[in-house]
Amino acid sequence: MIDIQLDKTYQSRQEVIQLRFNCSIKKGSFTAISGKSGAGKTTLLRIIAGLEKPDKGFLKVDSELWYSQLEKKQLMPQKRKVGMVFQEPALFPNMSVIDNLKYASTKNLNKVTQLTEIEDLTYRKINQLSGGQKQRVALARALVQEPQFLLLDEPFSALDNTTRYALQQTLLRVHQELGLTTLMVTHNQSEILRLADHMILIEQGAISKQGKPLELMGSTHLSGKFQFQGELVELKKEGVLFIASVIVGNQLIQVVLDQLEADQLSLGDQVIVASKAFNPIIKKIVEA
Amino acid sequence: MNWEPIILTFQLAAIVTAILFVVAIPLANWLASSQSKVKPIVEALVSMPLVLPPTVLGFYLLLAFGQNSSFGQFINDILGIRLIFSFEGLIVASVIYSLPFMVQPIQSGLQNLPKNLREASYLMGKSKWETLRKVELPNIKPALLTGIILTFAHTIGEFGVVMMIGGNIPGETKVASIAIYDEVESLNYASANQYALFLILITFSILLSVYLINGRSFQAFNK
Repeated sequence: MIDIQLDKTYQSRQEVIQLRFNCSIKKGSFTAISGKSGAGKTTLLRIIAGLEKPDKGFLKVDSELWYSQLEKKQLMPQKRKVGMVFQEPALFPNMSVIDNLKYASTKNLNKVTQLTEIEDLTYRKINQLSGGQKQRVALARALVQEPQFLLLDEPFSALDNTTRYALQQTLLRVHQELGLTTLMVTHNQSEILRLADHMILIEQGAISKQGKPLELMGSTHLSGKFQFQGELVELKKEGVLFIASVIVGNQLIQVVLDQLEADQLSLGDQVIVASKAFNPIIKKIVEA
Repeated sequence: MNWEPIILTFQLAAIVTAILFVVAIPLANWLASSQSKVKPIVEALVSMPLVLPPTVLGFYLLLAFGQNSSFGQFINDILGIRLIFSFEGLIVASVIYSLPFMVQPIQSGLQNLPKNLREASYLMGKSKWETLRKVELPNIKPALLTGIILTFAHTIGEFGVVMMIGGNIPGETKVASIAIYDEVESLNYASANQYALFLILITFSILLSVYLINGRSFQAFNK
């Protein structure tokens, strides 16, 4: 169990940001941290890792204090046994893939390279890897040291959908097989639904909501409406009605439309699939 | 041509570069990462030789190293080293004079390195020193090379400071730049030309190799 009660004030480029976090995270859970940019998601992750120091409060992991203002304690990042994957892979360019892993730890190399499916990449140089491969290696490197916590800071945000999906599958398998406690900062709603069993929503520096992802995302306060963004790939006439096929992430969604709705759409349109009175509807996204 | 001043010059440059390499890394690392209030003062002090006339530095070093100063006497009594009009004195003066040429490239190399490389290493349980040695320094090789070469070349070209505290003692403080001045004073233009031409060739080939090597490693780094 991680118990968090932390305050921090800092100056960003535009404004003074005040953070106030108060939550607990269960051992073995997969927690997604979501919210607008600049809300303080990354800072929360960095505080847990020990890369930033809060102003007030405490951070307790099981019965051990990692940070306490009262006891003037700040455990060094070196002692926290935390694995972290950054948005940029942060692999060491002067070392090969296997040397990056060995630098972290020489144990578990076989198991981790298998789990993350990088056996074929081990002797490559870092500049010979694609973006997705780099994040796989970064994930493997975070795992070889057998961390208590895996912290992920939007690790897949720069990847295309197919690569992202494959990495999500790997991450989920790793999380389950190694029994990790995982915290992941992400904007991507399908990613949250696919991976997380707990979700923390941060708004203006404080936790505004937490709970099961499906419940939170379904609530009107979060998104206004339950909606997905996708691309219209097919429009088929069936009697008096039309069936529209939309690709959302890696899924194909089919929605029934009437003539009037179908007339406003053409193939390749970016659309939103949303719910209205239990019926799915499609809206075209109009570029501003 | 008398090779003695040339050999002396390269001895001086090599020793000064070696000392500065060791001294500059911790200093540059501190300057690159510190948020201390005294940092701007230290930065200004390190950079002063860039703008000060060498004679000013030479003058104060002469006062500080001289037999009449307590520092000069202390060094003389304890280590038995005389710091003025001696090779040892030239080394100390050149280390101070060339300090920014080693510190600044290394400092900017470290500052430009993505900070998450350092942080990732800390999270693997590695100390600051191990991170510096195995992650940071190997990834700023072009900056290290630039520091080494600039320091070496700058020490070769030193004149004012040497003149002030070293004088013109053959085999002890008479380096190539002084020898050229000396030959011109005695109207031996041919001999001065030999020294000068040799220095031009050497410095050009050193700098050329830096740009060639740096160009190649930047390409490799950015690939």
